[in-house]
Amino acid sequence: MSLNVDSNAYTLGFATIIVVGVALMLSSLSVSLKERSKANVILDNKYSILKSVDKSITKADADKLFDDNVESFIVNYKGETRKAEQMEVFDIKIKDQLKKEVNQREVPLYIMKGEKGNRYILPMRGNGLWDEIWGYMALESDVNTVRGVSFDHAGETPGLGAEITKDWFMNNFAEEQIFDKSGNFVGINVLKGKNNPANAEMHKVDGMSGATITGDGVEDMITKSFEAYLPYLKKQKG
Amino acid sequence: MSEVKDIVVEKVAKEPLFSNKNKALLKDPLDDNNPITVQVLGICSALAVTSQVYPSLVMSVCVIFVCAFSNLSISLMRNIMPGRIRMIVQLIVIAALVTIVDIFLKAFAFDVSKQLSVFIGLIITNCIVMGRLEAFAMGNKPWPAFLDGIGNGIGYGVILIIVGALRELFGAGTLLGYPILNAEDGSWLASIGYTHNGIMAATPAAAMFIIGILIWIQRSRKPQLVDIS
Repeated sequence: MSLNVDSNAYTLGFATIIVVGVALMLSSLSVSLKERSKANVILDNKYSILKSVDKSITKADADKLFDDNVESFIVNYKGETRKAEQMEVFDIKIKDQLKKEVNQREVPLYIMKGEKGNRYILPMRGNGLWDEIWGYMALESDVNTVRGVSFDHAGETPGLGAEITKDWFMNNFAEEQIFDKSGNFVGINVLKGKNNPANAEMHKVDGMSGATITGDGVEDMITKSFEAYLPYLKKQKG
Repeated sequence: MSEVKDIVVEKVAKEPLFSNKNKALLKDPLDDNNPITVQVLGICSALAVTSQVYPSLVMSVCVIFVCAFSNLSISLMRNIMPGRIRMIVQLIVIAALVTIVDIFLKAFAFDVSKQLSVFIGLIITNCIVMGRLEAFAMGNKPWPAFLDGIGNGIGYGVILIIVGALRELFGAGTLLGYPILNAEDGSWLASIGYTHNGIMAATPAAAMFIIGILIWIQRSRKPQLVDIS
């Protein structure tokens, strides 16, 4: 039997079989590995939250450390908090919240209990040069001094914008303050060059050479993401 | 796009798995038929992902996998595939393989997948993969096609790693993240006026020059390659 591989019916049939076959294969693979990759995402979430407090935490410890020490809350623009389940808080999309009017937002807040009082961990989300950037900032119990940050990105250039995930860049943020002396929110300015070490100014950190737009994105991300927390933070400062 | 030089494997009744012809399929793409410097395919990703060695390395491994298995699957289907939709079928196979790589990385190597998120998807648009399907897998048996995929994947990877190493070394002074050239203030290199080259790290243009120079060196060594592409 000779098969006419170029007939219309055969072409249609072949296309259908290939498309349906590939679709079935990919969707069953995706579904069967979904639990695994979801667990990875949750663990990664916990890990990056904890990393903003302490860079020496390893991923293996992250799960237990988080469940034992961190409580999750939801904050509104009146400065009220509501304790919530971990998963409910993880599922809040910061991006969607940022699209709402600031007084309509309900945003996640993580509080880590420790010997030196509570540490407040706030999620952030913004735009880099190519794609989204996000991260967490941990504040000391004075609700002003930065304990640390952890950043991540979807598609910044390796060696340039992707440097925001490197320790040298993130360590710059430690001990900066987000409020000025009279209590107004100023955020943190990512400089185009380096902060003069002899006369380092508060609220300013070294930028990355060749990645000014990503640096500006980080600055913008902090300012915009913090808007919704300001009533709460001011209340805590007293 | 350039013409693609081809090796046609004739029908031989019983051929050893690694006959000379099959060895050539693996070896030729490393030099005489290199996908980047001779076939001039896959330039886009060679410019984009080579600012450091590590992403170049992982990208190469993924491309070797996708190239080898897409060549194999298309070669298996080559006689039953309708000619009019062959390119669409090729694309479906490539996209399916890339998606499989992506799903597996997400489940089993989450950190690598996070680092390479965009680059993985970029493999679908890598001209080498489709170029080899059209030029080789459509006309050859599965085993030679599989070897051709591996050979071309490696040939691509070698160039990527050379470019990545040069760019990381002279752009940031490191290799795979380990400091090699120290140009901090007060170091010996800084005292003779050396600084890291921002263009190397920053722009794909640097990669274009490096690839251009590699092509130049290769062709002055082997003049018979001059008129190929």
